Amino acid sequence: MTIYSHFGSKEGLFEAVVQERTDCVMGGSAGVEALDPLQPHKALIAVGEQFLALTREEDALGKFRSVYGAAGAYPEACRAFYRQGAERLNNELAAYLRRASDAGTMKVRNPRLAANLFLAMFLGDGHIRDLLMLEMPDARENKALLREAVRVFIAAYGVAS
Amino acid sequence: MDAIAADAGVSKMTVYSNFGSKEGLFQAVVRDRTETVVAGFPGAGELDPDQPEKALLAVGARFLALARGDALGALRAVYGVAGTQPEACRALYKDGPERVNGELAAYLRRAHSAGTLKVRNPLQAADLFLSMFLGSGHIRGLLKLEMPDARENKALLREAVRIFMAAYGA
Repeated sequence: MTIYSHFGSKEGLFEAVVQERTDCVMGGSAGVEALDPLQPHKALIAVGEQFLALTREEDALGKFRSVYGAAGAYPEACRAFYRQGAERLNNELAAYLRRASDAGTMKVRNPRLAANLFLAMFLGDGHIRDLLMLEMPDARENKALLREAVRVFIAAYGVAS
Repeated sequence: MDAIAADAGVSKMTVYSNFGSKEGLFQAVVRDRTETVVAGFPGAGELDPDQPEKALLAVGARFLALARGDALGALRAVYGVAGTQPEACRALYKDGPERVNGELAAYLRRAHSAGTLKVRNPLQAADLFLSMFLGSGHIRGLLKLEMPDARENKALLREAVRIFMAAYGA
């Protein structure tokens, strides 16, 4: 069994499968352009909610587990996974933060760093428990995390209105 | 098991009588590894509640080192076999992330009592702080890709502490 069997595809399709799943995280099917730079709170809740769902769903978790477990043996798969996963989401969120900064609704000096920090807030304890197949965080816990992550981020990068 | 017994210079029977099974041996390795990795993590009692920024920089620096290096091997191994090794997973979680999170939460509670931070839910706040070190750099580490350099790590550490202080500073 190769790690590609977890993705229901051969090597060539692997990247496309990962891309397809991350496609809708930023701004849903309308894309990152649809996120309103004048409403950062709303945009971050939407992005956080989508990303949280992705990092908590069993199908995606199986992929995380198998690429991590096989990291040394499949460098190309790992590179594709990173490129279409973390890196793409980071870049898209950074682009939004740049637009919000230009619009004067946020103050973000290093958009890539800020995007990385925001998305990382959903990769803590709950995601680790999921990866380890231990007791999963419930919906209430996830909702509280989402709200607090956005509050924390706005406290650091928001513009007092 | 043959290779491990040969490496240790003992019989396979000895390995089995000490660890019970392949799974038992794996658990023991994970426990031992986790303990070593977490050993250097600052305990809540060693951090000054009157200086949260300094304390968070120390905790963050240590955690960043774990998330970028020492802990990667054990995490990769355990994530890869999560379905078949529930005991090893539980052991790693309990001695690793849960303990580290608990220590930081205990510190945040003390800083809150001292009036230097304002933290309503210490476990959640601790998790948010530590998770900031589990983003793309950690993922690159797990995937064995090129890692962030020292400058990038330092900028991340500073910014994570700044964000936390902006949200929870008194």
